[in-house]
This record gives sequence, structure tokens and C-alpha cells, in this order.
Amino acid sequence: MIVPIDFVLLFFLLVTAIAAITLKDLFAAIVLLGAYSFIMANMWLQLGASDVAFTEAAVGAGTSTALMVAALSRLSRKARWEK
Amino acid sequence: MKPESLVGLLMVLFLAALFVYVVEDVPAFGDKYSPANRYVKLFSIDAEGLTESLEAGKVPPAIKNEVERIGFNKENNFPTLEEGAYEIERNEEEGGWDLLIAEGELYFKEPLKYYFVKEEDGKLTIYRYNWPVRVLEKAEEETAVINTVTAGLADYRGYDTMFEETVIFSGAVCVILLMRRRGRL
Amino acid sequence: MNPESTGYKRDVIIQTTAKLMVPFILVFGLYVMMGSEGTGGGFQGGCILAAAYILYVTAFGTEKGRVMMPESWNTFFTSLGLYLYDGAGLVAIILSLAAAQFLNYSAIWPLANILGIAEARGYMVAFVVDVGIGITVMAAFVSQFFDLAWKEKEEEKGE
Repeated sequence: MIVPIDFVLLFFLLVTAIAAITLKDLFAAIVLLGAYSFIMANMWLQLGASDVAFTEAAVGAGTSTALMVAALSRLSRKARWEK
Repeated sequence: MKPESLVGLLMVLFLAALFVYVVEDVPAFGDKYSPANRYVKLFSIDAEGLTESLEAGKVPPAIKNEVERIGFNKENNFPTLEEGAYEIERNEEEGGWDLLIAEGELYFKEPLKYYFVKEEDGKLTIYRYNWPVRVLEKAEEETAVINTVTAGLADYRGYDTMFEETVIFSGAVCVILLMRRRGRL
Repeated sequence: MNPESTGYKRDVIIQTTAKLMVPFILVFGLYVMMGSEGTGGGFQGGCILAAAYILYVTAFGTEKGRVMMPESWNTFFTSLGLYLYDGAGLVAIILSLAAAQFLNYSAIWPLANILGIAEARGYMVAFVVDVGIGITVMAAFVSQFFDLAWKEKEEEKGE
């Protein structure tokens, strides 16, 4: 069932998702994915699954963001769209 | 807007819509009677003479045959409602009887909630208890693990977690193989 | 982003805050991993430990990080967790002389009677198994982070 806070969370979820795929700067996209995982953790918490929320926070926001940043250190900052 | 990023955007919007529907459809947390985790309705029959025999602690043949006909029989290796194999307990708070059957497990001999017979205005409806009920009620005594989620993850479904861990291990090994030069493996 | 190219010197503020935060994150990770009162099990605890280690590396650089957790230790821990988990399963078989199935921990009650622990099975699952998962997850994420973030400096020196 939809609780009023859901609207806020879902809205931000959608905004971060769309921003993450349309941004050119890879580093900003990674940070947005971290924010996405954080909002997803709140969604899981609101739905009552606290263990899944914990995992989402620890893996999504914590570790995969760090791994992506580590991978980014090998790439250049700007995504090279083939014109 | 290039076509492939348009497809990406459409995918995101579709998944967002799906997610909103799922969030709306999930029953409220802790709702005891949300369909999935309590019990599943099997069938219902009119209870003209059956309640007395249930009170006396004997499952009437009408219920027994119907349950077996549905599929809970020997072939699909379900324990059947033979004479001595089950016990009937009055379940006050839900107004019905619990049928408990002791599966022949090596280490857990206590009987287990299998069916729930509910009596409403002259009709008997038979429900089949679901797996989460067993885990919630039996986890404490069977696995002595305080947290039922950990019991479920590490103990009841230990095989899944073992292979999940192997997945993580192989992920690390793959990164090691891919990222390191040949000389420095 | 990589420190050398952007002339990014090691910032004192980040180092001191990291020095302050890393131990507490490690303790929290162990709390989450060990026992099973709170939410979270081995997997979440391992992730938090890996995150603490990554914080240490971002603050102090990959060389000191590599000194803290050398490669040999890293690969050792990655497989140690799996050995712990599968070993606990094997112990169940050995102790019950092949009467119990592979991961059926209730077969350790003879050992429990000797050691006198009542719910040995609960402690077995809560500690041995969860810690096994946590160690593997931590070491796996740390080794992935290192393989991605490791600059081939000594590569030029080596070849």
C-alpha cells in the first residue's frame, strides 16, 4: 500500500535514475547511483524489509560506488560519446 | 536525443511504473492475513456431522479423501492423514482446528502444523499452512538461532548461501585474472 | 581522479577524519557480522568492513593500504571464508558419522555435549558460518577494489 512518504521517495528515485543515465560526467553519474542505492534502501525500509535495506545500503551505496570510482580512476572523466 | 538513449529512458520509465505498482500492491508490513505467508485455502465442505468427529480428535474420511485427491498424497511424498499419524489441536484465536503431522525427520520429531480447518457458519474450509509459518514458529527451537532471518538464510537455506558465497568468490577471482598482467598473477 | 595526475596532495583533514572513523566502522562491521540479534548477517558485515578498508585507502593512498592488507593475506582470506563455511558443513557429516546431511548443523550435538554449550547449533550458525561469509565478502571486495585502483607504478619500474 502507498504511504505518503512513498511519493517523495519514488519521485527522487526516478529523478536520480534518469539523471544518472543522461549525464556526461561519469563521476557525477557514479555519485547519483550511490544516491539511488541510498533511496532504494529507504524504500526497502519503508516496505518493512530491514535486512534487505541493510544489504542495499552496505552494497549499493557503500561498496559498489567505491568499486566504480576505483574503476573510474582508470578511465578519463568525460564519457566519450562517438559523434 | 539519440535512439539508444531514448530506449534507455523508456526502460527506466517502464521499470519505474512497475516499481510503483509493486510498492502499491505489497500488503502492509505485519499484516497477519496477507495471503502469501499465512495459509493457502484448499477447499470447503459443509459441516453437518464433521465438527463432532473433529472435536473427538479424528479426521473424517470426507476431508481425508478430498485432501489426498487434491495432491497431498504418498506419490508427491506428502505425509498423509492416516489414523495415528496426525494430532488435532483446537486453535482458539482463529476459531478452528490445527492438524499437526510429525514428519519422520531424523532430528526434529515434534509434530508440525500442516492443515488448518476453519469453521464458519455451517461450512468447514481447509487451509494448508505455508512454509514461512513453519520457519517462524519452529526456527527458535530447531536451530536455536535468535534471528529468524539468519536462521532462514544460513541454516534452512544453507545451500543457497553457500553458492551465493561461491559467486562472490568467483567474482573476486575473475577480477584478479582479468586485471593483473600475465607476469604478476 | 587519480592522485598523481590532478596534483592532489594527501589532505590532512581527510586523513585525520579517516583515522578517527575507520576503527569505529570496523567495530560496527564486526557487530553486524557476528551474532544475530540485530539485522544483517555475514554479507552485510563483510561489506561494511570492506567499506572501512576502502575509506582507509582513499585517505592514505594505495601503497599504505597495500601494506595494511598485503596481497597474500587478501587471497588467503578470500578462500578462508569458504573453507569455514564448507568446513562447518563437513563437520556436521564427520561428527554424526555420515548420519546427517551435508549442512545439517544439528549433528554437532555430541561436540556440544562435550563442550557443554546448550544451543551449540545456534552459536555455530551465528558465528562460524556468518563469519565465514563475512571474511569472504570482505576479502573479495577488497581484492576487487585493489585490482581496479592499483596504479601500475611499479609496473614501469618492474619491466
